[in-house]
Amino acid sequence: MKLKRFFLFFVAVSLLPLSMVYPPSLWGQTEAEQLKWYHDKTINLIVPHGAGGGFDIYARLVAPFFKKHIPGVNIIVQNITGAGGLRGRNQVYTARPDGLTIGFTTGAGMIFSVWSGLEGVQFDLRKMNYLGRIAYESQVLALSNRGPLKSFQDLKKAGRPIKLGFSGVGSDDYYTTAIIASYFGYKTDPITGYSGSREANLAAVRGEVDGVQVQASSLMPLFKSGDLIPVLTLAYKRDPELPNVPTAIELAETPEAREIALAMTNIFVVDRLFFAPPDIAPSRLNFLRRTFDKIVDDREFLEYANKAKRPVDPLKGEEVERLVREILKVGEQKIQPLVREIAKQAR
Amino acid sequence: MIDAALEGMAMLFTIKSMLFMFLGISVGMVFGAIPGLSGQTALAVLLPFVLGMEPVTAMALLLGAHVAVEYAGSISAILINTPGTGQAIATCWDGYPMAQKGEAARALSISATSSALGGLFGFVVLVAFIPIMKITLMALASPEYFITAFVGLAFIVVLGGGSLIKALISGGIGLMIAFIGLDPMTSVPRFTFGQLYLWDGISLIPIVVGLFAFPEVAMLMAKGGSISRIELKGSQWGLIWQGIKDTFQHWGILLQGSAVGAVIGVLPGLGGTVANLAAYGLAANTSKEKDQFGQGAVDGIIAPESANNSKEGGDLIPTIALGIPGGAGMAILLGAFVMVGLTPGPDMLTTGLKYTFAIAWILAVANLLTTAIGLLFCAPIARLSFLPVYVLAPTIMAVCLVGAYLDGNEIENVFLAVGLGFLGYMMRRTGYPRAPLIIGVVLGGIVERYLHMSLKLYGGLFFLRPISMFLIAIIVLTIAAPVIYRKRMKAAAGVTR
Repeated sequence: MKLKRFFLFFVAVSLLPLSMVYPPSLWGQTEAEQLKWYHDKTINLIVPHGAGGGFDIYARLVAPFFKKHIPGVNIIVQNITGAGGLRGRNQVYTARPDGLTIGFTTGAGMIFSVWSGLEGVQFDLRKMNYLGRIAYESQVLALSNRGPLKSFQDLKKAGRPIKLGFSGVGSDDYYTTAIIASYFGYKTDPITGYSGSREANLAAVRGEVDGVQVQASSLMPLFKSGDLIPVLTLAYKRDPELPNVPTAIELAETPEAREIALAMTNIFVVDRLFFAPPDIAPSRLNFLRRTFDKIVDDREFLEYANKAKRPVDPLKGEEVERLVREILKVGEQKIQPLVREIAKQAR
Repeated sequence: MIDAALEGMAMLFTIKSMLFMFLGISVGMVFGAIPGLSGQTALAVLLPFVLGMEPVTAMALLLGAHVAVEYAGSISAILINTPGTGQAIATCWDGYPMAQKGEAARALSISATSSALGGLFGFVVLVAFIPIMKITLMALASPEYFITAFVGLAFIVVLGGGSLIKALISGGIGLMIAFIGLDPMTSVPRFTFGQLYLWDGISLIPIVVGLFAFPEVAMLMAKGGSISRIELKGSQWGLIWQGIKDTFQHWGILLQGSAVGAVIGVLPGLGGTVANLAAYGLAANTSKEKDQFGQGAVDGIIAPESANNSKEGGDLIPTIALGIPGGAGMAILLGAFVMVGLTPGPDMLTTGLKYTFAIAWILAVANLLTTAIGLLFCAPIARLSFLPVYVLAPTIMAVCLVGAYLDGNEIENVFLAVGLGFLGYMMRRTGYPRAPLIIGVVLGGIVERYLHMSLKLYGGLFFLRPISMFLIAIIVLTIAAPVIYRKRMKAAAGVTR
């Protein structure tokens, strides 16, 4: 500890002459200056999801560690729900870019809301700043054990559209399943109106619909009991707990389908992310990103998250930014028109 | 199975678990009694504390809070005509009139006693269903949800008071409010006037504050005096004892309300507000003191209060059996289950059976403890209804407006509540019943969703499914039987005369 402080002091002193030559506005502030700036200030962490839900739990696990790594800073977690999370995301995007307002939400949700041309979206994903991803959970297409379809091959042979349950048209799983289907040779018949994914899952267990797309971890017990049959995952590699379930990338038969499968997988790879408004000074953005890196590397944090049974699988902000840009590039040509079409058909 | 039941009980009856349950109940009471602070908020606040706790202790803390919220929501419903949570809306409609008669303590005591007995009923249902949980869940599908909610909509007519036309207009306004927001099937914004605020529809608390609390405050201020029309005399304990006796004497309505609650609990997605409203509506139709409904009828408090507590037992069934939460509060509990190392789902009925029983025991004990605390505080709380208006009116206004804001942290809610306050006042002055409006708001969206899904999945004749037919038969019998019985009695009386 003392050594570290000494080292910091040493770095600061050695940089001192440099600051005399170049004013800080030119080369950016040092970490020490950022730390000093944040002292006694309050960070608003906006969570556009309900209190007690998955996103909220993550945000509240992380929040105290901002305090630990930025001494003297205060952080408030605010649940700003409304308009399916749009209100909170807009609020972060339009906030003053001083590094005191950050958000935590679903990247997939933001991408689909932009692509579908949802009215009310105020953010541009290319301008948004990303601090990092905290966790990745593979998405699984699961079929009901009480229905006639039991495997991925059955979907193609069904000879009818596959009934899938969703809470609404705007949900990530709604677009994902339809896009995968259109490139993998089957059709879907979306059943919307369930009051949430939990009710749609129950409908699938009951056999009222043929299947649902879910987060693998949330329904593992139902896979084990055989009530739901996982047939496809959206991930780079197979889920270690579901070694017999192929990924969409593996199942793709044409190069085009493979490209789409990869893009769809990437969308969920950037799912649980911390983000900040555009036009933050580069030095401050960098400071926030490095703070995030320190938190997800902090042994105490990892133990804490492990106790809460929340997986942590971090990705740096720079990498998230690169992925988002790549997704937008591939997607705007091939996926966005499809998303628009799907959204239009639903109406 | 008996081993598991005993083991579950032993895990609960430790000093630590009981202390945490007490703590949970205290938090739940406060959150429940303040409009706008919901049960979900109470659970979300407590959630971080359960990290690293033993499963049973954690469940005692959280379920204690969960149960207490259900009861405490009725405190403000009875005292200031504004339910602390949506699950206590119907409790206003006879609880508050009873308080106006100077019997707030009696109303509170009826509410506490029927909450406990309803909760115990839920406990019995939960335990009885443990072996057949899964079969039950598999049998009930969208058409049954639709039928249940649709019957609730029919109560608009029952709760109209005098004029049927006025009841229908009021219910229609409620339905119109229910359809504001994103279309649940197509996600197209409806009646939102370009406002993101309206996308999620209008939430219940500002509506209730506007329609029920404001007109009462306005009337009170015009009239002076206090909520109770008579002066406080003597001890409240007589009234409290009277309330306990009332509840046991009206056991028929108690059982009926509890049964309604349990059934609605098993259907995840309908929720406690529907249970509360449906039990009230049904009681308004079958009760012997039908004509006194809305004027402080005992049955009008017993039915909704027993239903919202017995619902909890039913609610736990999908949560435990499949790991799919029965409601929003249950979704948070589910998160907590995982955090303390329990895996909800089929395992809870085999290897984790002792935990399932522990949860059932917690539910039963927490209900009794909540009621004991509730009864103890009846007398001081009831005194509020005897306070002079110049103390009470500003306080109620402040609490209600803050409550409206807290519901989603949206300032728009406050303006909406004030605006609806005028509507509520006009409705009151012109004799339009306000209960049908609430029913329209609560059930409109649910009926629409399940009708759409039933039609799409089962076709136009979806109600001919055997289980649907069975459900319809039960409902028709429950509603028709008392009417036929009374007609026969009248006819018989006519013959002898």
